[in-house]
Amino acid sequence: MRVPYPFSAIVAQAEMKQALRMAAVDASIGGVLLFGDRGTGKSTAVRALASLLPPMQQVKGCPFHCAPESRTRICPSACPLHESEDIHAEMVQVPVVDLPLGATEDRVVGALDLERALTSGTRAFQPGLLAKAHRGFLYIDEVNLLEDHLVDLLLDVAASGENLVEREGLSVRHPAAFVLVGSGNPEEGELRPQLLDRFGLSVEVRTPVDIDERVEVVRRRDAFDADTESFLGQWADEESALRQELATARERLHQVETPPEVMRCAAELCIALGTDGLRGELTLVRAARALAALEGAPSVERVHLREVAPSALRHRLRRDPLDEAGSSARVERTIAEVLPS
Amino acid sequence: MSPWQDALRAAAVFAERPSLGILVRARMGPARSRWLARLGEHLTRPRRRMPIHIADDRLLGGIDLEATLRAGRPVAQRGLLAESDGRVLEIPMAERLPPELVGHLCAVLDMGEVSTERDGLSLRSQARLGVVAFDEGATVEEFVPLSLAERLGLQVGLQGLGMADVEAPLERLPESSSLEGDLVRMCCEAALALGISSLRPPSMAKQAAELSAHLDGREEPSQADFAFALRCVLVPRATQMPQSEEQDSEPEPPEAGDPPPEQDSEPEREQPAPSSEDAEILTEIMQANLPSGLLEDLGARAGVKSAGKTGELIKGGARGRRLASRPGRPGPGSKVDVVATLRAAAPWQRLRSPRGSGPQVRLEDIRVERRQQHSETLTIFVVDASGSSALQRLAEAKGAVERVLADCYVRRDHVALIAFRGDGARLVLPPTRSLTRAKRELSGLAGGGPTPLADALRLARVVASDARRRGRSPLVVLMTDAKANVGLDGRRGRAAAQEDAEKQARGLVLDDVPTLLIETSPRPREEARRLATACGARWMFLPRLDADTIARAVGDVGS
Repeated sequence: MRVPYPFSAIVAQAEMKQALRMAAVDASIGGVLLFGDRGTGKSTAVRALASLLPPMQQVKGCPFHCAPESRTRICPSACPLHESEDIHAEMVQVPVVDLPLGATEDRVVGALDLERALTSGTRAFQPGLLAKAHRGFLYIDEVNLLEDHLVDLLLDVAASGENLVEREGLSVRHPAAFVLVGSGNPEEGELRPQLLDRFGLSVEVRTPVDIDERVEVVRRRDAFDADTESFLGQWADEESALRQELATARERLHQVETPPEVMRCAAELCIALGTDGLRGELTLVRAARALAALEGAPSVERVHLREVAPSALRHRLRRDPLDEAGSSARVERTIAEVLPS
Repeated sequence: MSPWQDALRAAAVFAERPSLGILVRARMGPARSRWLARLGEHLTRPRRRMPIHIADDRLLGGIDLEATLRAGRPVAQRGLLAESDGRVLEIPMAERLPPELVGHLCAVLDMGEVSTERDGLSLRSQARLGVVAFDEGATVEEFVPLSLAERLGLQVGLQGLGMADVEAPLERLPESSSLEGDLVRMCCEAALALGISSLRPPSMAKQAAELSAHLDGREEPSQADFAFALRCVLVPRATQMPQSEEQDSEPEPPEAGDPPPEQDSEPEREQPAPSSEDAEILTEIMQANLPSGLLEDLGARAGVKSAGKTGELIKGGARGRRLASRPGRPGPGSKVDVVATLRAAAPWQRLRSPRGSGPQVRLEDIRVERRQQHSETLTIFVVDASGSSALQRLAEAKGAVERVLADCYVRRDHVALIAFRGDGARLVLPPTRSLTRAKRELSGLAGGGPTPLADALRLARVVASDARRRGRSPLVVLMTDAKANVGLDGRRGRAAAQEDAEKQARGLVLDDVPTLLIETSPRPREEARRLATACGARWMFLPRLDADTIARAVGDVGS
């Protein structure tokens, strides 16, 4: 496994980095979609994020990463939570699970554990990728190339937060709440609107056109490839600062106040843009709160709303081909009207 | 530098750092065998070949059917990618690679490992590959998938080489002055000038220049090393001509039908006293190293870029390329995939029949085939026959339509023609596959009068949506100078006409009809670009219409 490139060493791409940081602070925002040109460092950023996440507590040995405090959660019988009252907790890395292209359904949802079925004759459930990703991140590169039946499956699980398996004589349900992170290149295929809507934030990633930025990107990548260890050493301070920032923001998140005035602004913005349903509004407020937490602000302000609105809303607009400017410009225009600075 | 020398140098550079990857445009033949033999001399380990129809389980690893049946429990086998770790993987006919396979290859090239989650197995193994891909595409319609080409650093062509050429051994690069400027910056600037937005190529170019210098025993890359990197890494990815202030000789689109664009045969001549300015050196090297056929290539490539708008895909069915099999019930329109079904049943055999009374296949094991096929395409030509487009243009357009029609006939596609002039547009040729009928209608086509562009686009929309209903994928090819002066209501006036035209053009986006706009005015015009943006069209500037270039571009957008 290659060592991931440090997150803090990614040049420019402010919106992408911010969206990923917000998603890491508040899982309920609902994940990030990175859509853009080839060679812009989309996957690099996602894989880099993994090493920044603060470790989490889980029931020792639980394949579903059950949190020790959540005794009421449904969890299949394989979990030690069900076997003893005496639970030991352990600290583990937050899982960032790759869903590779070509994965088969049985590995994604889980299936009968054949080894155990054959050796001991017990009907046991072998958890799949969805179980692995519980309380963590599920990353799908080339999300627009994902097969339709897997997309349907993910939509269902992402919405309900639990995975229901009815196959091979098994009937299992287990929690599967994960942050969905997708990336892709729109030239290779569009994303179905149902899946698009699942992502809390969406970012249009573009290659920098500024020559100095481009030179810096190439230079850093080159330095990383040439001598990975010393490059990581150079960025170690920045990385730990970022790690600290995320940890602090997570703790602060629930102390950040959301004044009614901000809620009203968010609603007005969504009405003006004509986004469907409450998802947009909810995501907008949550993202703004995550940003406030990251910035150490005591309460959510209009500036926060303004800043996160494009990422939170641009993929929720109905496509209007008669508007030549595209959704990003429409969101910005509406923000300027509804939330004048 | 001759193409052969470039190819040899690229082979040596690749052997030095296989992770760079190399794409070779060459069909089977003596040149390619020679080149491979030369590459083999540089490599320390044997190459592996990947057949393009390799099944997923052999590529990525999966269940070993035989061993599983014997052992009565799932036994994994490694795939070709994992087996090729640390080796060079040779991919013939890369232009025919199915998209799923390309996805896997790209993931492996990015991560240096292959991870598999299939058939109840979770495998992960190192796969650091050096890929040699051969692009055997006969026309521009066939090309190596862009996501793979993006990750293959070196790109060389062996077309048009004679037996005498390919005997030559690798030569040192001619002595040239050292590169004054900063290599990384020059690579970035050259990439930007050629319209390459991705940031992988500049980094690859830098490595190629350094390795090339290393090959000749130079400490630092010289101008010739940089020129090599430019020719073999950046120029093949160019999407635009570099903008130079004064280009005395207007680069004319060269004769079409001359497939191998002759590489610049003159080695860069010592240009008079380069000033120390990096930019000037860069411009000079670029000028000396751009192949003469680049402009034409760009025109043809313009259509290639959008891969999204291919013919509507119909899944299921009995014809077309096979996709991965899925659990399902056999029935009308679905066929059982016997091998996949057996594979699904294999691990269960010991459990189901402990006595070994022969294999048991149950309903849940059944896997059905799925196939993917392209529906028929209807190419709708919308031709400007107004006075502002000269009569001669109309004759050229007719030639182009006939040419495309001939191609469509081979591909069993349909063609329609809309001509517009005077006060309206007319469907001159309703959708047809008949060559003779098209020729007859075309010969009677007259020109002259004002330009009712909006009406033409309206009609194109009607024809396109009608085609959709019949299960065909429409494709609009608009040939005009975009000087609209008749509005939809028939009234004259430039501004209103332009607005109407753009409104109709957006309708094409609304209907999701892929469009190619071929601008026929002598100089590129702002209106044409705006129109192209409005209908989401690929825009192509062709002051001189020539049948072959257009036919190729249409093939790219429509295929």
